[in-house]
Amino acid sequence: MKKDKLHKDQGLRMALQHRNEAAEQLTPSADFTDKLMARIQASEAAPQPKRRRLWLYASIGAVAASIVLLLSVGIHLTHQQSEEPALLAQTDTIKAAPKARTVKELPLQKAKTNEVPDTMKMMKEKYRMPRPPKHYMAKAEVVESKPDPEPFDAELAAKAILEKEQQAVMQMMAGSNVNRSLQADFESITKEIRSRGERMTQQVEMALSNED
Amino acid sequence: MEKETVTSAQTSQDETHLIRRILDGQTALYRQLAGRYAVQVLRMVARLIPSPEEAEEVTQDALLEAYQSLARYDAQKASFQTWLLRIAYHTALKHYRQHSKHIATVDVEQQWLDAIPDAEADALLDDTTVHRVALMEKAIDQLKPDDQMLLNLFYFDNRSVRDIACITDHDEAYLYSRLQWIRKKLAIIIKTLESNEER
Repeated sequence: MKKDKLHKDQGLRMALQHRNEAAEQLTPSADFTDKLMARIQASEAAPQPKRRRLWLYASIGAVAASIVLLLSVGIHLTHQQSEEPALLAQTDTIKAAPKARTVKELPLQKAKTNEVPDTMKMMKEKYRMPRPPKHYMAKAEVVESKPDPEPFDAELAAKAILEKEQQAVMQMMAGSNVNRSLQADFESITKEIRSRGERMTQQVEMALSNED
Repeated sequence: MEKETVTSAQTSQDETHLIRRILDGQTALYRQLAGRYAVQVLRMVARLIPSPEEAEEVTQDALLEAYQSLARYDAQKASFQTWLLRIAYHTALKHYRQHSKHIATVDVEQQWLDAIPDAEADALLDDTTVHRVALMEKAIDQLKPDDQMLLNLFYFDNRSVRDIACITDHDEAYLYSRLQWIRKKLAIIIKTLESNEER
């Protein structure tokens, strides 16, 4: 860079000097600072446009943020409700019962109450507990061949069956929208299944004790 | 030289203290701070805006803007004077562009600039004869307002390119090349004016 050249240019300097002569004579008027201070006070008294604009942007931002928040909460709740039947199927019946009551209050689900008797019939037919199948007995025999046959295995087997049946029922319930009457029926079926399971457990235990 | 440096440091410290007090709520102290630089700002503005009333109004605008932005002033980056002149520079240019209906500037094509040898431009701008100086004044009037301001800051105020970079918001390398470009442009305008006179 030719810095030295820039520092010469005497003619140019003289031209600028001559040109700025008038400007160099200028001095501020006597009331210059008074006027300035008055303007400063006036600007402080009146709300500044920049600040006003800032407030406007801040309020727009706040409204937008609250809308986004509401939408996200709404979406989250909708997801939760749609997942509830599946959750009901995964949890045990006693805990699931109150949740099912909240679901049934939805207007969409109320509209589907006509389907309930059919569904119940189908469920009762499908999940009527059969007699203890032979393979359970066979299982007991296998267990018996072991050195220490425990009645605990039989209980486990009964529980497993019970759980599977409960899950199947819950899935069915989840698939069809549950309402209040359906819930009551569901509870009675569950009780029945439980009692059958207990009976089956007793039978298994009896069979084991007989063979002993 | 050492004495000057010490005085400058004391002034800077004093100003920083004054600014802090103003920001703490002692608004009236701004009168003192503005009073120190009002003349300097007014004269810089007046180089671009010849009307004294208008120049004073623009100076007030600049000082008011400086007051409102006082919290943003960083003493580590530049002196208060440079910072204030930066605000005045931009305020004056803005006012000039808004109020000048027609800015009579000459557009010079790059090929013309390349056509004039450096030595010839140097000779033209270094010439101190009355006639040439008068032509140079006319040529300066035909430059763009920011170029006029740049010439004044560099040649008239003898400010460092670093200071000018701070005032004009350009980097130093750009300013050097811009100054060279303005010099060549001036040389072409002077030659054109001379040839017009000959006719």
